[in-house]
Amino acid sequence: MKKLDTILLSLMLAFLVVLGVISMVDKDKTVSLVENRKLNSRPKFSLSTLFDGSYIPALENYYSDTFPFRDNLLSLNKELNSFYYYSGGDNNYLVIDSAGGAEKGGEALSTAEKAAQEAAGAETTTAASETSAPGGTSAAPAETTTAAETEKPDPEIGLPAEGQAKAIGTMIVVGDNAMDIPTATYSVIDKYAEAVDNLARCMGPNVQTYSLVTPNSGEFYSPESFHTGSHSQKDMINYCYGKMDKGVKTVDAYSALREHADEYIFFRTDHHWTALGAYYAYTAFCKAAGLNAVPIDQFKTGTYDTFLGSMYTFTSGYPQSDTLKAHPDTLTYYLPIRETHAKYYADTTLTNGVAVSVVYTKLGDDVSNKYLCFIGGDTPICIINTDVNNGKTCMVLKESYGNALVPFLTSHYSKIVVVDPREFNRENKPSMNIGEFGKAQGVNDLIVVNYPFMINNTSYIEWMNRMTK
Amino acid sequence: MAFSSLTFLYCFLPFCLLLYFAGRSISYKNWVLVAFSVVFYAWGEPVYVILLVVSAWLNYLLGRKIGACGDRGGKKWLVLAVIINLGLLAVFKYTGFLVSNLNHIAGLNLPVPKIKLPIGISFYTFQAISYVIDVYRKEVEVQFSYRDFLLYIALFPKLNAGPIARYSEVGPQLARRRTTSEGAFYGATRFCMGLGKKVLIANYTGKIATRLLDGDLTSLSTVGAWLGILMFTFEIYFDFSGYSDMAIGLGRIFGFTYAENFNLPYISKSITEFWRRWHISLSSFFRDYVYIPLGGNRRHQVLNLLIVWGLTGLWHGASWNFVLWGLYFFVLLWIEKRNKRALKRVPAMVRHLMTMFFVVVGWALFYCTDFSRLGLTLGTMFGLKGAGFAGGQTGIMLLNNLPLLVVCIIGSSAAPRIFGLALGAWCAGPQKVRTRQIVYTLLVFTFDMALLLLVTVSLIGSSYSPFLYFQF
Repeated sequence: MKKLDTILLSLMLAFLVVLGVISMVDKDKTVSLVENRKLNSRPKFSLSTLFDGSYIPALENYYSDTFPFRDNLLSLNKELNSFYYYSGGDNNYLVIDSAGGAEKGGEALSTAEKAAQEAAGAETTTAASETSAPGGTSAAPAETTTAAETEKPDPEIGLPAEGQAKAIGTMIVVGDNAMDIPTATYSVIDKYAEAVDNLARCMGPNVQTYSLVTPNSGEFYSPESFHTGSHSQKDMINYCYGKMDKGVKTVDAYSALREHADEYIFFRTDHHWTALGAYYAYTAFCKAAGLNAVPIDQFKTGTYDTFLGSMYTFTSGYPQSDTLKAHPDTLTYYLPIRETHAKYYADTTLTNGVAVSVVYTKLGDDVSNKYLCFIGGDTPICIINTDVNNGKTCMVLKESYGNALVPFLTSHYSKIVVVDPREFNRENKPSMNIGEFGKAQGVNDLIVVNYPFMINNTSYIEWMNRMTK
Repeated sequence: MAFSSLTFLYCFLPFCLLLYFAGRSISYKNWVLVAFSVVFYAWGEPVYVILLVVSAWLNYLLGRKIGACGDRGGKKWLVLAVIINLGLLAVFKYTGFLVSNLNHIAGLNLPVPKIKLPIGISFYTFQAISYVIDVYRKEVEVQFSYRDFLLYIALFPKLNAGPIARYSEVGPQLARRRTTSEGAFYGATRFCMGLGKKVLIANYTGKIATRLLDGDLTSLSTVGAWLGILMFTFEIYFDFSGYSDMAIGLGRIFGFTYAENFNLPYISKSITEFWRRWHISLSSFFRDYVYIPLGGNRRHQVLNLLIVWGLTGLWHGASWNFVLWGLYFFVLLWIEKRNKRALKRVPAMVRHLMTMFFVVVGWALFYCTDFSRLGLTLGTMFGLKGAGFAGGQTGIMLLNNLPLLVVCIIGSSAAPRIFGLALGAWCAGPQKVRTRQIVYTLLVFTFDMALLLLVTVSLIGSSYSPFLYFQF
């Protein structure tokens, strides 16, 4: 028996040693196709990083990222997750943290937004090259890398005040519908309302400011406890609007969406609204602004079938995502009626503009995020000129929710200036004063478009405020 | 360094084992272990490793001083040693707590220093204290080799989370020990089981507990609060006892035998029994070095118990809720003592459920370091606060975690042990049938390897972080 024990123990040790040796000498992969991301590379050793405690964790991350057979182990882990995230018979239920990032504090933007943004730079370039310079995409990956690196949580921005509940994002899957559930922190919503007021003041008395806060799909399709109490988006939006100055016109997108909740207004596998959802919000905006909304049947439409979005990606480590994969989304777009010319720019100098389409109709299979078909995704500044002859200019200050709304606005303005506040006034990013830029562009209307995660996001609010300074 | 990390399992451990078994002399083996232990500690605490080495050195010197004094004069050195050890603990663990309380009581506004707690300081300081006291009491021999003393203090299997090994138990093994193949096989199995408890159970239950209890408590339902605390109840048991299993297992591989630290605490039928089964090395430390010297049950027993339980609470963390948690057990134990006879008449099943009820409620006190959150959590558990009895979120989470919950309940019961013993007995056979023994060994080995694989899968899985739409 002793002999057998020794043999088996030697086998076990050999297993550890062999895998250990392979892990050290094998060639490290740099990107993960399974996870769509760059893998951590070996951190540079220095005494200062060792003693401040950052070197070893970085080394551990690098080690697990480049562990031999990582992809195989990951697919086994998905199987393992069917034990830890049991779905029960024919149902398909899942509740998980939103990528877990929030627990560790220092959250900048919600991970969904951040990651979407990281990709946006590159994809816009790629997409733009379809219209402007075919084949000239070689520089794009480099750009993406820098974008990704600068998108790390912003250290300048403090954590939520102590004693506050740790913000734990929730993602749920019910059947073939995956939803991101926001949680209200009313003290932060106060700050959001204040920031919109500040923006309005900064724009000056001649500019009309509109605030459009839209719910997301969780409000309409999640089990009751996910959209009531601190998760009630209706309460968040009403509260937020109630706090704003009377001079800011608030847009009741909520009611417009609620009325059509039985239609396909939100994606099931992505955290955005569909173009139809954005259209109903647009009708609400028209109501607030005294414009006549273009009837939906007047638009030419087209579709992208089999769109698997961000929510699918986030849940892809769990067996429940198989149901999403089996039922992908269809993205229907509505083409602008007016003739449009659009370019995007890196900063307020508006140099080196790159042409973009207001709606891309020919995104290839290589662009998995079909939502980028709306103005090419998130860019710092995107300026759209139309053949509308009223001489009116609007500025849309938004995160990615705004992208699907912009195409509908082309019927009402000669010029639309789309600005993403996340792209300015931060480390390694250009600066912008929205009042000055607005004046230079001759802006008449400012439309601030956000969904509930942003009105609860201190970093985002800070970036809005920085535009007024 | 954590046992439950890929770097430990696939880099540190195999190379430590290879080097350890490459030589024969005990001196060589001890050098290997000391070197690896220091690296192990420095991996997580590149700065505080100095504290560990210096603290061990001071205790080593004072131990020799006390020993050299013979029957007279050793006391002052002992007092110095205890002051140094408790002083280090006070500075590195309790400074912030003390200052903020001082501010509160005296209305001062002193800046509260933020000192990071050195890993394992509560464990290794207590080991050092037990050593110097035992030397003074002449219960153990003085250790004249600093290397071997450092090995006692810093031996990596038990450095992070105990057990608090006594020198009387480990001392002789420092100079003389042998690894048998049966012992190593048992140790490897014990290690794999501990690893599985930590990675495959505690890590997951911990995540659920955090989700439910660290979020917005006003939207938490009663069932959700109980599920959260229950998950924490299992997290702390499988985590802590898993660590002890790994320590004991690794110790056996290196030829050390440590006393058991957990003995199925969740099968207890009384609080007294629970504390005889939970973190045994800590309770016995307080019994031998605080309770009995104070007079035990001969003089002012209530006061002695009060002190011991207050300190036990405080040992777990620098926050009042831990003291409250300790005193909670003081009260329960006292009530139990006074009603021994009445309790005997209660059916065993009821006593078990009662005990577990109080233990689980106790974990709520332990979990919430913030008293307003503690109030909300307890209020929600007992239906006074929170968002109703149950909600959709709780329902889905309960469903998602049902298999895990079942594994937790079975895993913390006596069932696995009974099964293991029965299988072992069957395999040993009436006449020591050889084939049965081989089958048994192979079964256990397969089990170990399966655990190792699952742990690796899970650890890799926890580093899974998909990004959206990244293009290459």
